[in-house]
Amino acid sequence: MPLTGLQIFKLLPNTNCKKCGYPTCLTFAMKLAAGKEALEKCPDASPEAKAALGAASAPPIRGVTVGRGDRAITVGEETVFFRHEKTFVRHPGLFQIFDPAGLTAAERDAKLDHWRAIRIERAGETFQVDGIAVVETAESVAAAVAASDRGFPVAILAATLPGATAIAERIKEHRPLLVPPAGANLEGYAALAARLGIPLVVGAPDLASLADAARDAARAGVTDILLEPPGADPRLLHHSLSAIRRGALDRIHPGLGHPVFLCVGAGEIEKAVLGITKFASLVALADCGGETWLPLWTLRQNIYTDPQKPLQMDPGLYAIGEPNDRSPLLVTSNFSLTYFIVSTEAEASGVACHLAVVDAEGLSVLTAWSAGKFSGDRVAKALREMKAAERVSHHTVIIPGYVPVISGELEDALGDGWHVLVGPQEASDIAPFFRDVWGPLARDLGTHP
Amino acid sequence: MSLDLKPKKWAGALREVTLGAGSRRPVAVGGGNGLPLHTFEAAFPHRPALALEITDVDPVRWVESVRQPWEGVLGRPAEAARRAVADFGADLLLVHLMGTHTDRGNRSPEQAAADVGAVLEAVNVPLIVKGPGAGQKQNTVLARVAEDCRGEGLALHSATNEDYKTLAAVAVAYGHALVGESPIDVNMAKQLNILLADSNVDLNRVLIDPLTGGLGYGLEYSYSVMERIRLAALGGDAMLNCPIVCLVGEEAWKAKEAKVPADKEPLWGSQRERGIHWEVATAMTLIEAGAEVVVLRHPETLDRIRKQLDSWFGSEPSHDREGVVQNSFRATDEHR
Amino acid sequence: MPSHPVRFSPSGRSTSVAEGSSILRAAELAGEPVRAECGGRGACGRCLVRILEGQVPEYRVLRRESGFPQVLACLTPVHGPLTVEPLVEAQLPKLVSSDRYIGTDALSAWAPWPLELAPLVECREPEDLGVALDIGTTTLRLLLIRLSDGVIVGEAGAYNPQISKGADVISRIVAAEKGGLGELASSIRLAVVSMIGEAAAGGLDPGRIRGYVVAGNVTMIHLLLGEDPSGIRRVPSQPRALAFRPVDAANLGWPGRGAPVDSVPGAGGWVGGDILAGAVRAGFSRATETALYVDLGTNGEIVFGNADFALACACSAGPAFEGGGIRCGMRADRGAVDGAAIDGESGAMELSVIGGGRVRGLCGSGLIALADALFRAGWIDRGGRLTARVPGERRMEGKWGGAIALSADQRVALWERDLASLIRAKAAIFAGIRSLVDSLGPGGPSIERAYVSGNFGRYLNLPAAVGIGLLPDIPLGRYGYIDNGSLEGAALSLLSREFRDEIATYLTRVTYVDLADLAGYMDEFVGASFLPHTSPDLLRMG
Repeated sequence: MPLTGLQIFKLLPNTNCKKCGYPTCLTFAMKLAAGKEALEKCPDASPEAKAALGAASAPPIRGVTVGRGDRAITVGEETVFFRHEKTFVRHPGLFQIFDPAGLTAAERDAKLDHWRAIRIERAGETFQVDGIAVVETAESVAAAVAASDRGFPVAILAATLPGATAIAERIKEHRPLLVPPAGANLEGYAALAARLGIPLVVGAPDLASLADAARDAARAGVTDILLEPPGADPRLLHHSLSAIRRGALDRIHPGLGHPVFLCVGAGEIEKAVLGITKFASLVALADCGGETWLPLWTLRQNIYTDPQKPLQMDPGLYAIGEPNDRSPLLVTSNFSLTYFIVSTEAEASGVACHLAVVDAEGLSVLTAWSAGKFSGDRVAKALREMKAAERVSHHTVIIPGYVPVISGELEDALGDGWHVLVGPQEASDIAPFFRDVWGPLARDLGTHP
Repeated sequence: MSLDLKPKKWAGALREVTLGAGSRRPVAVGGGNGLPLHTFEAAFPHRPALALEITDVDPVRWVESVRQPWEGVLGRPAEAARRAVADFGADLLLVHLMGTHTDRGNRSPEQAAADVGAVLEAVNVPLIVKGPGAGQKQNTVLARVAEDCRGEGLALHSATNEDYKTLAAVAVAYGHALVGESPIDVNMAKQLNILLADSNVDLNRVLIDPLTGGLGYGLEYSYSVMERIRLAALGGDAMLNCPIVCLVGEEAWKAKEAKVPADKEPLWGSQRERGIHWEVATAMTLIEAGAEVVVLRHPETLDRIRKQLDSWFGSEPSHDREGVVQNSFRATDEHR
Repeated sequence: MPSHPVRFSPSGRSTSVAEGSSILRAAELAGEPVRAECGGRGACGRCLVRILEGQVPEYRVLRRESGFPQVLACLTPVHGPLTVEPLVEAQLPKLVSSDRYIGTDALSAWAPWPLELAPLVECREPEDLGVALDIGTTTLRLLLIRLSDGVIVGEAGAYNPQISKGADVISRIVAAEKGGLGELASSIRLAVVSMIGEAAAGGLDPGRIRGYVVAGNVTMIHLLLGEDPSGIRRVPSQPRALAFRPVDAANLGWPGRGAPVDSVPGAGGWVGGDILAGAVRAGFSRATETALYVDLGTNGEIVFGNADFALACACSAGPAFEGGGIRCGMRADRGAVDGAAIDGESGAMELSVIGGGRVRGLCGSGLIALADALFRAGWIDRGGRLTARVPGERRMEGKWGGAIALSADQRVALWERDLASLIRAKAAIFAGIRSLVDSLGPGGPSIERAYVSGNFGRYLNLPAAVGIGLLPDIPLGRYGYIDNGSLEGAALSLLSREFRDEIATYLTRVTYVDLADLAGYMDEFVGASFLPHTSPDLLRMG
């Protein structure tokens, strides 16, 4: 169980020496409890404090790293069943299943180069193919080497122990993931993984044997293990995934405290959706089209966003439609949900406008205001930084209807003939507001520049 | 070493809400006493219901790939309804009266009531009737529809925290169910239900619409808010235990990713498949989070989601004595 | 530049102002008694006027009644000839009170533990005086205290004149950064001089002032002393100093030759001497029980702790608790509604009015009591909107929602918007309290004592405050009132070196918490934005 701020506070020296960078021991204790600081920053922490904190913070699910170098991916280390309880920590790696059979070296390299080149930017994240799951065939050693050489983490989808051994031996420096075939006797694979020090996937027809198999592999010297859950159909897969996570968090069996591996066949996007939402840590996909990958990358981004640190929009001036210097200027907070709702409604209104997104530390407008993060001054400062005055000739800013209280202060802080107009409370009223209030006013402003 | 996986038991359960009455073949939703889809440890008297959205006027903003299966019937609600039920197998329909919006045709309450009446004639599934958006016009339109269609057990969409009194009164007066819509917030969903209960609305006739964030556009907020609503319900909170309805199609097909053609973004793949995947992923994710009614736009999505749900709930719908569609599932069947 | 005639009705006063001047400016020039106690920030709502003839910008129109637009004079520019009727009774009493304390023996009234009279400054003559001063962002309060026996002999209150440079501390800092520091400092110093004059009006000699103790937030102290405040708003906050050496009163232009002006030190950029003085005044520094201290003002300040530790936070509540931003708000004075009872059977509403007689307005405590009574009687729903149970003769409607008439002539009314402001204010405070207490984690200390301070301190109807979910539902016996913790703490510091030293020691125990950093604050705030709360069991915190 993680310790509370007050429990940690009682373990600290309570000297308020500030060496940790915080003004009081209590502040530091609260940061530790939130997982935002490390105890090492306290030079005077007692051995008892270190022991107590260390025991409390060991994750119930081990971390596993596949690959080496820049593209190496670490998964696991999860601590919760529901993302809102804290957050999901390590987003699942999405691997491309690659069967090199029948390809020339040039064809093979062209595919790998294509996958390596994929970079799609979305909401502050770069989507890419996280790794290559090489199907074992005669051509696989060369393919695995080619993938490794391109920096990809590699999963070996083994067919035979000798074949897998040949591939693993060649790229062992790159920490490939060894995936035995379904129903295989795991002993030989475990011995291979243990000998090479590489991670291993274990599978079994039911959860109890799966947990035992993982425990046995650990006893055989495999340090990094992933579990392949029983999952003949969606219901069983969902059950297995849920039970493994719950069992790991409850620590009912040492064999369950590992991340989960999932293989998804062609045309099975629903299975991948289930995996990404329900705790899978490495997902190998047979499909290679953007129509499959883009929704899955996006889903992963959504689910693994820290819910306690709401996704924030970058502050700045956003164009809705193609606004000009006579278009309305709306201001809102940088809480991404607020942004999505406001921008959607503004777009639906059919009136092109400027949307000024102000840094309100990711809080919604009213909450930000109540916490002092959406004051007239902050909004004014933001508008100046985004040079709003150069973008609209009317120098009128529309503020959310929930905070008319900031209008006077904002108008004063902006100075130089700015007007503040109190907009609607609900985003759904933006269209009527544009029509009934902004329209007449814009005509009025035209005559009173 | 055997695994000691104890089934999780909860103090509370979802309310069971029956949609449709009178000439409708009713569909009941909710009633489960566990986490969504956790059929291995809890009982679910009803499977999630799948609805298709039809509109009173041609939805000109719908992207071509989702217009295509409706070709010839867009803006003709009765025919669209027939196709939705007979050809596409919808459990129920959402009739979106978008044409009553003052900026989208400003159709009258009488026209709206006639449209809904025509749909009731054409099919016998329950209807969710969605107005043009909160405000005076919506209240007038839905009040007229509710009056003209009394006894049919419609679900009126939607009452909001700011504007609930008219629809609450109308729903009570004419015996309809009510959808309460709140902006992706556990507390506001609960506040609205309290306000409705205080207005004499029977919460056994209420669905929660927690406002759907589509994939990539706030899905994670909907997901966690719905999980939290479900946990509150299972914990015994009688103000949060109404079944949840999600307007998935509307949000999924609004996404840029569902609209951009393949030649503009070559890495994004086929536009048609991408759009359907967007809707499938949004729907499946939200069902996992606790949606009991999912409103879709593309029939292929409905087909795919139905096949998924069959895995949990079996493929043959059965009818109980009252004629309620009842894909019954009992936890005891599953204990292995 | 063109000018436009502005005529006031029914007085007939008129003037002419330059294009773009405010209606308030026209009132000043015409001698029409339209007030803007907030300094013309659009906050106090006291300058509401009706436009009888002429055009005003549509975006300034708050509502229309009988076709006449209503606007705030302070925010509305004149673009053409106007005829204007003031709507708020000009003779409404001032919002800042100044007659509470005369004759009080400060030490025996306020000392949290037995304190010896041992003034911070030497007392040579029996009639020597000291000054305790609370500089709030919005209001100023001052006490003249006889040093020989600690009895309060004079007092004064005023709005902080810096309001014209912005309503909150950040705007003041910005104003200072823009070269306004000198003006900010001199305006506050001058205001204090005139308050001393007012407090001494009963025949006291300001020349006998031997010393001053000032409590205020860190920004206010910087501005008073002319210190650059810009570092305060950096992250992390870097004030010039948290404790300043005493300065000579003469340097501030204040009376009392050689009298030192001491300021109560702060614990951090956002935990000022005002909060510390209040917490120590409430006995935190010696408490074994964990206590809550809530200062209900425009900025709600909350401290939770005991002798070992304390957490402090601030939240914006808006001016509702001070009667500001409320259409018919006023201070707790003659004519203010301070209580209400509604007969469930007959639907009759009885208002209790301070001093009896005619209803003239609503004070902060009256607003809370009224909201509680309306809620209990079912006249408002849990979102604060009127229900069908409001009797027809009391019901009023405007563009911005309904209202309940409180006076027969409908001049005094409670609007749904006022209720919305109150709910937001109480939600900010309650969410702050819960977030602060919860930040210590499950199993942390509960609230064993609670102190409420604020403009209305002793007038607060505690059951009503708990009833609407402003304050936690703990046994009422655990609550205590502190009228003005900052001012009282300043007075105790003036009269007792021991108390002053205790503050300096205790400040190292205080930790500031930024509510925006707490993951649960948004949920807490939304949950609390309901009557009494979305989940009323969360109100029980004891």
